[in-house]
Amino acid sequence: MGAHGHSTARLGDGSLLTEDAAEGLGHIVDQKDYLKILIYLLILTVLTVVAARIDFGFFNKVVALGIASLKAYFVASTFMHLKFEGKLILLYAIYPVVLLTIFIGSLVGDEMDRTHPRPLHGVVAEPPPLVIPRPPNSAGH
Amino acid sequence: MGAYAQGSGEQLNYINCEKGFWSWWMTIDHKRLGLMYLVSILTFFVIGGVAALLVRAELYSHGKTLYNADTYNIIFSLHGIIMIFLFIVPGIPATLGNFLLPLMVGAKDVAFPKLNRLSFWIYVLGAAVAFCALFLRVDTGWTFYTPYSIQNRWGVITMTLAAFILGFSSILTGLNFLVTIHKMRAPGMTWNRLPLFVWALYSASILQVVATPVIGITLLLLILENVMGVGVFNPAMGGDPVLFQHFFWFYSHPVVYIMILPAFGVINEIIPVFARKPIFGYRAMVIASVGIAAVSFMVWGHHMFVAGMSNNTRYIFSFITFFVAVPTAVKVFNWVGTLYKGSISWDSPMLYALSFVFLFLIAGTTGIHLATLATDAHYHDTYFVVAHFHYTIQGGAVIGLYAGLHYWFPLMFGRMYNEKLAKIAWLILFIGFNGTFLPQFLLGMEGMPRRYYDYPVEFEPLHKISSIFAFFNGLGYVLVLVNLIHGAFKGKKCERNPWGSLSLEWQTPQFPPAHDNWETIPVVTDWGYSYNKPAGYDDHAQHSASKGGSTHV
Amino acid sequence: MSSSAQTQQPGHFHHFEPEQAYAASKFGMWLFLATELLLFGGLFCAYAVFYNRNHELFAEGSKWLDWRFGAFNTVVLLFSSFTMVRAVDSAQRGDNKKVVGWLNLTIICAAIFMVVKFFEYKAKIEHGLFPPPNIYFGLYFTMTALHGFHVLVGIGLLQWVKSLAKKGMYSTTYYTPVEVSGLYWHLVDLIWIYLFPLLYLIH
Repeated sequence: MGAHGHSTARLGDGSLLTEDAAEGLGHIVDQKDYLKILIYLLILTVLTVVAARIDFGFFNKVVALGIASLKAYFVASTFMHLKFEGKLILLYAIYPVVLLTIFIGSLVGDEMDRTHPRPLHGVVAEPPPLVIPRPPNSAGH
Repeated sequence: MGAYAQGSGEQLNYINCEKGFWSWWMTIDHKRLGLMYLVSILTFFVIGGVAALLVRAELYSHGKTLYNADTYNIIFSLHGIIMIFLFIVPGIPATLGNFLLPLMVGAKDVAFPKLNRLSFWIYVLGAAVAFCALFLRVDTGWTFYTPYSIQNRWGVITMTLAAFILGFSSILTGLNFLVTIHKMRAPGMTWNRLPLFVWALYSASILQVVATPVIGITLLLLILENVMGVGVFNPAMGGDPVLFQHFFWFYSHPVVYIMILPAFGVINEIIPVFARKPIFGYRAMVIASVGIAAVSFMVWGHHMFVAGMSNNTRYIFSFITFFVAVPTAVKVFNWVGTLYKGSISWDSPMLYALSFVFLFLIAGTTGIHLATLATDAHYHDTYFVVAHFHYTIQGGAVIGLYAGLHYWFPLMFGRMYNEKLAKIAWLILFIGFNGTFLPQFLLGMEGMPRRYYDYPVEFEPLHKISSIFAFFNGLGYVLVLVNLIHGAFKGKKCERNPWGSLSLEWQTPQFPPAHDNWETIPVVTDWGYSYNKPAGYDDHAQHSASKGGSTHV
Repeated sequence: MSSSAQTQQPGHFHHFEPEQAYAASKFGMWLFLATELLLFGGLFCAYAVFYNRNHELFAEGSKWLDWRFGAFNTVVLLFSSFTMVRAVDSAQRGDNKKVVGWLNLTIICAAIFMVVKFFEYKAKIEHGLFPPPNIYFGLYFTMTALHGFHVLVGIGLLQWVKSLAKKGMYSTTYYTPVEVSGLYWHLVDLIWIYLFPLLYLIH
């Protein structure tokens, strides 16, 4: 493995050692970039709230999750240094997301595919009344 | 040359280098941890086995034989819970894996030794909580299906809490192994030279890390449902019991591969040694292991074909389930290919390994019946399924564990067990096991439902046969354990590497290994399977030498 | 294999070289984050299934939540991610004092988050919404409580990391605990980034 105290170009797992960190281990990011990302995140948060007030119809969920995912991308790539990491960590960061997508997709797909309610053990049950408490006024507290 | 103990003149190895309970409880030595796990899981194996014999005793005749139906429900539930969560899931990885992984990759310990110790402590905590649950009522079966399991029952709450805690142990072990394999291989131990047992642990560790959290959240939701009410699994609140099954099986299908992949790895290590031939199709074995791990995440619905999923969902799960048979079959062909024209010796590890191949063949082919939608509709929740999974888990994973215990016994203890007794015990075990579960396939085909306390008198003859052989099965295990325990303490001391293995773990300077395994980290220059090949023959690395196998990816 | 340089490095495993230890710890933490993702993922999955089944339940339930508290908490956590990453940056440059400062800010943000959470929960309980009357509230409490638990654990973790900084442990060649706990903290932030719109902002 690499010698002590010298920066080799690449660690065994593929992550980069920056040339300017003479004795560094990981990538040192310019402090201004961090501030930039924070501002992006705050703007996107405002957008999240604003977008919630607009009705995109079917695309409501897409927009909400899309903006959230964009924020997640910024946090993951810069704050968590993912964009500087090698293949190994990228693989293990992305694989669970893929798996989760399959899991959620299968379950929601199965849900949507069932065309009628399933009777429990042959007894056709009335769906129970849902308890939906309504707030005194619609603006929250 | 290693240190020597004062007085006795015995060389200091990992067992005698320190004495006393505290030195074992506080150890971070992976070998000691592996042994402690071994003692723990074998204890639970015996307890779970007693529960099994109680079940079979009751089922010997129809109607009440020994105790009533409520007690029966508790006993079979405990049998499943103990065997799965406390024995076979930790299973090979926690015992043989912990002991062997650093040795096999040429490291002094795992990546995070203190975390390894924490894994063990968490296991003990989970076992203690499970023990408490024994005094409360748990009669849901090991699957804890809702809505039966969400009726505010303290037994279920405690037992699921135990399983939740045990899950952490499993996750941390898997995490430790993955980092060890990626970051701590000795120079020259390229991915292409990695022992197949290590590849198997790698695949199983991915499953441990990624799948276990899902059962974690499932059990957490179950506990919360019991304690405060959440609604997602509760039909009375508009929830969905089928959703519980989806969540449960999303982990519980990969978990069976956590059980079996390491067993495949053990067999991969044993057969070349006792056939004096390189393993046939090393690369195919690797791809098969990782492929099985990957596909295992996409077939969980085959446990739920009659639970009420939509039709399309069922077609998809059935279709993908057939694919899982392919890499497994490739492994079976490769084992046979390894044996072909080999020079076979019939020592006890080999007997276990060969019987594994035979028993897993039965297990796998009966799995096809269950993967097929039309036949599964008939077989689901019958003894056919019970027989199938006992062939895979006992005939597969447990036999694999015992094969490994016999094979690596000299390395772990520096002694040998009684070979003759080992062979006799194996024979009793083998006959007992098949006699117990072959009739159960027939019972299932004739419609005998699983988990039933009572049955029509027509089923009695097959039940009688199954119960009688079950006691032989138990006797076999008693003899094996007596033999191994006696051998560990009083067995004849043996010379190093009695089986003549070329694998790295047998090449430690000391036998049994010293506390830190290697005085200096070895440099690996050869594949571990070059039996009867010219020195330096490396089936694989020669093709890939130009690609430059890396040691620290 | 061992060298004098290694014995000077604090917290190093006895059989690791520094780059190896750093890479191993980082990889190990990412694996742990994968488990957290799958843990919360199950809850997001339950959410997706029931949202699909009964959208009105969720829309009505969401009206009980004050989006302003949620948005404020979101900003607090985003800011805490920023202060965390500045702490890591300071550690990379070997400035232990600044590490303490930035970590303190992070911990304060986390505490503010929990205080707001406390008031939100208090209001729900007063409105009779606990124990949860329906699935929406069941999921709301489970998801936010599990997240809140992770925030509390994070506070404890950061206090420990801070204590190492106070001892002057970090340098340009050793800052692993800060980086690794930073990763954990960002995940906590990430989960909230999704929880906020899904729980508070349903139409």
